[in-house]
Amino acid sequence: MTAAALDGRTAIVTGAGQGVGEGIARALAAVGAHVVIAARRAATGEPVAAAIRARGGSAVCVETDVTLGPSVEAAVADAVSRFGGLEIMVHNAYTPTRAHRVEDADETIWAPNARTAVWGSFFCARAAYPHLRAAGDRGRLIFLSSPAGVEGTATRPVYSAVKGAQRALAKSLAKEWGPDGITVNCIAPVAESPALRTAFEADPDLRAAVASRTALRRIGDPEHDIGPVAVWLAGDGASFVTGQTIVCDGGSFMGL
Amino acid sequence: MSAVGLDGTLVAVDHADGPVAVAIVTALRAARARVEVIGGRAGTASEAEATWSPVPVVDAYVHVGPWSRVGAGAPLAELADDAFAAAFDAPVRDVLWSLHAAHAHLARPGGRVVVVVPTAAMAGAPGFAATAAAAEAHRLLVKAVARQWGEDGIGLNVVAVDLAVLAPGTPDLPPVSLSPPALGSGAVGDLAALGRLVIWLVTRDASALTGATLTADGGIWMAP
Repeated sequence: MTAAALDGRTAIVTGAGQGVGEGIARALAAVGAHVVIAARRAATGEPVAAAIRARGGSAVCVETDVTLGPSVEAAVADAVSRFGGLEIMVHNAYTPTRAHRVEDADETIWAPNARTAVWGSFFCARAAYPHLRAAGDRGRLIFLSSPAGVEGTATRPVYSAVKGAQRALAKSLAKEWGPDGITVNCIAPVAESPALRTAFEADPDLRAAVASRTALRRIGDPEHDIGPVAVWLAGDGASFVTGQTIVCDGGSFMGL
Repeated sequence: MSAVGLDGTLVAVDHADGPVAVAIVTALRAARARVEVIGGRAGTASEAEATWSPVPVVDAYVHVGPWSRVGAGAPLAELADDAFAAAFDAPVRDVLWSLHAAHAHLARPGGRVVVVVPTAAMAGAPGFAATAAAAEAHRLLVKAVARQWGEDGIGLNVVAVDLAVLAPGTPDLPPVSLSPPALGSGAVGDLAALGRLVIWLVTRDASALTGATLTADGGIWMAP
């Protein structure tokens, strides 16, 4: 792909202040997109935007709470006002919760999972839709799901549920918005993230265990392994791909 | 083949007001199971625990979900927050807290759980995106919980049914596939066959099966 693959297009990436979101934001900016770093706190989002600008890219940070519809609507309005439109919406933000058994789950497990993953997807889709439709066949909506939303995980059943829900939302929206030329897809990554790093620090053997389950024997890098998948889905090369989940996990899950 | 006998098997069934749940209860009773109909939507863990409190240890639990009340569809971008909450949060909270509460009331080992969802979970459903999302959340919850409760000897599976069968009369339901049902249109809503499938799933004959989705729609959805 040429360096100008997304030249002049505008992308919002939620949860881009760190981890996979940051990697995707950096990758989109590297191929010419204006990127809005939609982070809950400017303290994490602004350094990412500054780093992108320092590399010659176009990025701004807009404080955004994806659990609140008006906050997402404001971020979209800000992006459109600054850059003249919105072609790409990437919803990555997610608040991790503790491992749990379903019989021990409570509202502290349910609420962050549902609000960030599913309601955040809803708010992003609803706010972005008029602008993605205006972008025609350049309109892209991408949700960051998880392999846990495909095969289920024994350690976090509520996480599995909400990540699966995102995939069904994407399929439904792909069908709703197909006549507008908009594509809707999911990426299900296994990559270095703050949550995963925390888990690795708590369990020194976990990194090797996770890596050993992948065919490639390593954990993905947010910018160099996951970012290019997002760039491809956001670009013209994936204009006929919609309603899909791209499992990007180094070959851990091979379901089909 | 003679009918499978469930003599003495105690099965709890909730949301027994829609046609699919009614058919399952009828089939279970015809197979001589003892059926405990439990009711009420579980919006919270405490509501679910109150519902399950008088229920003894059961051999099986069938959760159909409130799909019969799915209501009219609408494009997701036009949904108000309360409509999304009704279509997504309510059914997912219901199954989550119901499983949460049911665990203490399931036979160990040998307990069986069947969760019924629309095939829209797997196919997506334009106009019913929040419902499809809720249904897929059910499916993934079952997979994850099957991994947890396997050590207790409890198996959980999903039966996927066409949404038109779960919620007859709902306007503007989208087609799941462009292909016709392989077994003919009469098989799509064959509730007697569906009842037999659920009976099999709660017997020991299905004990090797857990975390699976069995699609009972007459051969419309065939993926993967």
